[in-house]
Amino acid sequence: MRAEDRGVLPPEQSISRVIARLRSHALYDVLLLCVPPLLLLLYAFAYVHQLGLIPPFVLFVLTGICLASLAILAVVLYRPKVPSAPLAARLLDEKTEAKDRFVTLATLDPKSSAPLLISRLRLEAGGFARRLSLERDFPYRVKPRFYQSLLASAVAALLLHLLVPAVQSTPLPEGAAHERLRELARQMAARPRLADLGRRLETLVKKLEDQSSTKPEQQKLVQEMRQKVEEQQKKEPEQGDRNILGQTSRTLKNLEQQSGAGQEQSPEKKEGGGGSIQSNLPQDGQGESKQSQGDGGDSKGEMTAESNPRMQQGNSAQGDPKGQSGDKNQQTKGNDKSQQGDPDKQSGPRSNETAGKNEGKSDQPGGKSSASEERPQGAPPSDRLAGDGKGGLKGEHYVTVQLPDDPAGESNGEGKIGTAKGGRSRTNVPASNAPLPPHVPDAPTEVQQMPLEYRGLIR
Amino acid sequence: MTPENFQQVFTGLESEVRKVIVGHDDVLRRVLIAFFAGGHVLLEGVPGLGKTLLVKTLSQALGISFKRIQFTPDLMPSDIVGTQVLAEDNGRRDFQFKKGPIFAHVVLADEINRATPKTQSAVLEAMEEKQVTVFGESYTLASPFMVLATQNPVELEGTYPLPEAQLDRFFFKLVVAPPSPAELREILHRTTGTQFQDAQPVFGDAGGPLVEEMKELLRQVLIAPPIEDYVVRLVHATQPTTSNGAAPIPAVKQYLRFGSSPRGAQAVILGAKGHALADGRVHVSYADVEQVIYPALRHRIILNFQAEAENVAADQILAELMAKVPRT
Repeated sequence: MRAEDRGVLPPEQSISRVIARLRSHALYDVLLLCVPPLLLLLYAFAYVHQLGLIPPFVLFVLTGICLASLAILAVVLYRPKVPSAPLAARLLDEKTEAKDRFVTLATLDPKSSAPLLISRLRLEAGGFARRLSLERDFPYRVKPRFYQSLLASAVAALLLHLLVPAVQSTPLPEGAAHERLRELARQMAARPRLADLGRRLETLVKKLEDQSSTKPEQQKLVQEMRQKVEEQQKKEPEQGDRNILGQTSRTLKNLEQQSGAGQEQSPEKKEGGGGSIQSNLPQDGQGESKQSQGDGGDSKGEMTAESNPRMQQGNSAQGDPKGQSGDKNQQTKGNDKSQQGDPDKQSGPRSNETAGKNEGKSDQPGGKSSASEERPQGAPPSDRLAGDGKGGLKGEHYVTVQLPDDPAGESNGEGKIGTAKGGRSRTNVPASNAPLPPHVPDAPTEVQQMPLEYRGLIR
Repeated sequence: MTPENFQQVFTGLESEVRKVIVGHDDVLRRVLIAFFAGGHVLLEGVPGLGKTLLVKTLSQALGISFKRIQFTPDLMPSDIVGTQVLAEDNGRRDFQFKKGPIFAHVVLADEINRATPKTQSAVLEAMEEKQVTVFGESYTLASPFMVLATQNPVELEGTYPLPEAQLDRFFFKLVVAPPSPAELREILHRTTGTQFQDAQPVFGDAGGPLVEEMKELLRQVLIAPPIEDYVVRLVHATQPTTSNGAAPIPAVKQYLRFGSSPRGAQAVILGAKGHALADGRVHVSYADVEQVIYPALRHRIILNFQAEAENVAADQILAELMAKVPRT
C-alpha cells in the first residue's frame, strides 16, 4: 500500500516542502541583509541630490547601478543558501528523528535497490513525516547579520549627516570656487526664476577671474552678489531653487572669507619677513600697563597706551620680550602679564596683545623705570640696527620707539599718563610707529634721527 | 525472508544465547551480525570470561554443527584440515580423506595465537577460501561457515601473534570485557546451583537455507550514498600518508604505521547493514556505521612503535578519527 493511499504525506513531498520553506528563509535573510544598505544608499543619493551636489541624471544612474549591484549581490548570497534535497532531508531527519530515512530516500537510486525495501522505507518515512510541522520545526529567525547590517547602515547615515556639511563648509580653492560658481550659474540659468541671477553670477565669475580688478573690488562684488542671492533665497518658494541659492550663497561666502583672509595676511607677511625693532611699550591700544612699581610704593603707575590703529585692533608690534637685539631697555624686571590677541594674526616674532597688562617692580628708587636708564651694551647702535633680518632696521617701513621723557603731545602715539604715587609725576612713555622719514644726510637735527638709546642721556 | 522475519530470528537467537550467557550483549549481537554477514570473529579477552561457552551456545542456538580446536604449539595443519588415511574397503586398501575439525559450520579456534604460523595459516586460508586443499585435492567447507578465534592478550610468552595480513581476514575483533558485579552475581546464581539451562535450536530443520536467506537479505539493506561516503572518508582517514595531498589527522600520523585495507570498509558497511536489520530497519543510518567502526577497524589499523611505547590503544585513535571526520 502506498503512503498516499494511507493518508500519509509522501516523504518526497515533505522534503520538497522543507526545501521551499528553507528557500524562503534564505530569501528573507538576503533581503534583510541587503535592504538596509540599499535604503542607506538611496537616502544618501537623495540627500546629496537635495543639497544640489549631484544632478538628477546622476542620481538616477547611481540609483540604477546601486540597485543592480545589490540585486547581483543578493543573487550571489541567495544561491548558496538554497538547500539541496539531501540537506533538506538531513534536516528533516533531525527534526523528526527518522534515523536518516529521508536522507536515504532522497539520495538512493530506487532502480538499484530492492523494491520491497524501498516501499517499506517510504512507508516508514511517511509515518515520520506526520510529525513534521514546518512552522514549529523550521521557524524563521532573524539572523544577527541583519542587525549588524542595520547598525552599520545607521552609523553610515549618521556619518553622512555629519561629514557632508563639514565637507561643504570646507573652503574651496579659488579656482574650484569659481568653477563651482559657474556651474551654479548654469543651473540657475536653466531655471526661469533664477535665470537673471544666473547671468549676473556668470558675469561676477568673469570679473573675479579678471586679473585687472583688485581684491577689494572683487570682495565688494562678491559681497553684493551674496546679498542678492540671500534675498532671492528668502523670496523663493521652491525648495530646489532655494537649495541652489543656498549653495551659491555658501560658495560666495567662502570666496569672500578667502579674499578677506588674503588681504589681511598680505601686510603681515611683509612685516614678518624681516627683523623688527621692538619697543618696550605695552603695545596694545587697549592694553593697560602697570609701568613700574617702586620700593615702598614710591612709584606705582598705570599707563594705557594707545598707538596706531593696528594696535587698537589688537596687533602688536611687540614680539618676544627676550628677543630682539637683546634689548635690556625693555621695560622692568617685573612680571609681565599679557593677554594675547588673535593668534592667527600673529606674524613672526611679534606678539599680539589685545589687553596687555604689564606689571613691573622697579629696582630704582622713586619708581623710575630702568628701561630709560640702561645703556646698550656691545656694538654701537648704528652697527646693530643697520642690518636686515632680526634686530636690524634695514627694510623696515616703520619702527616703534619709546621715548621715555618726551611730552606726550610730541608723539604720534597717544599715551594716557598716570599719576605716580608719592607726589612724583609718572613717566610719560609716548609711543610712535610713524614711518621714518627718508634719510637725508643734511637734514636738521631731529629727535628721531638720533640714536634712540642716547636720547635720554643727552636730555 | 522479510526484515520482520530477520529481526524475529535475530532476537530469538539472542534470547536463546542469553539463557546461558550472562552479559556480553554487545559481543553477542556483533557475533551474530558477523555470522549473517559471512565474516569471522576474533574474540580477545582473558581466560574465564565465557568466550568458549558463548560460541558453543551460539552454535547450539543456531542448530548447526560446531567444532572446537584448542591451538597448541605442536598442533599441525593436518590436525585442523584433515589428512589422507589408509582405509580398507571390501579387501581393497585405499587412501581416504579424513576431514578435520575445520569441516563444521562453526569452528572455535581457541587460543589461536598459541599455534605456529604454519598452522595458523592453514586455518586462515580456510577462512578466506572457504575450502581446503589436501594432497592436491580441494574440499569445500560447509556453509554457513564461521570461525570464532580467541586469543589471550595477557599470556604472550610462547605465543605467535597473528600477522597483520591474517588479522585482516577477521570481520570483527571483539573485546570481551569482565562482567559487572550484577552480571557476576547472575553468573554465580546460574552456575553454582543445581539447575542448568541449555540453548534450544531456533531454526529447526531448515536452518541452513534460512541462514542463507538472512545473509542475502542483509546485503540488500539500503544505504544512502552520503553514508557510504562517510565510511569511505573514515577508512581513508586511517591512512597515515594520504594520496590526495590532504594532511592526515594528527593522531593518525603520529601513532599509525598502516591504515585500514578496503576489507575494513567492507566490514563497516556490512556490519552497519546487519546492525540496521537487527534494529528492525531496512536502511543504514550514520549511527549504525558508528556502532561498528570499532570492531571492524581496531585490528586493521597497525600501531607504530610510538603508540605501543605510549600505550595508545587503537580505539583511542578511532575515537579521535570519528570526532574529526564530519558526517557530511
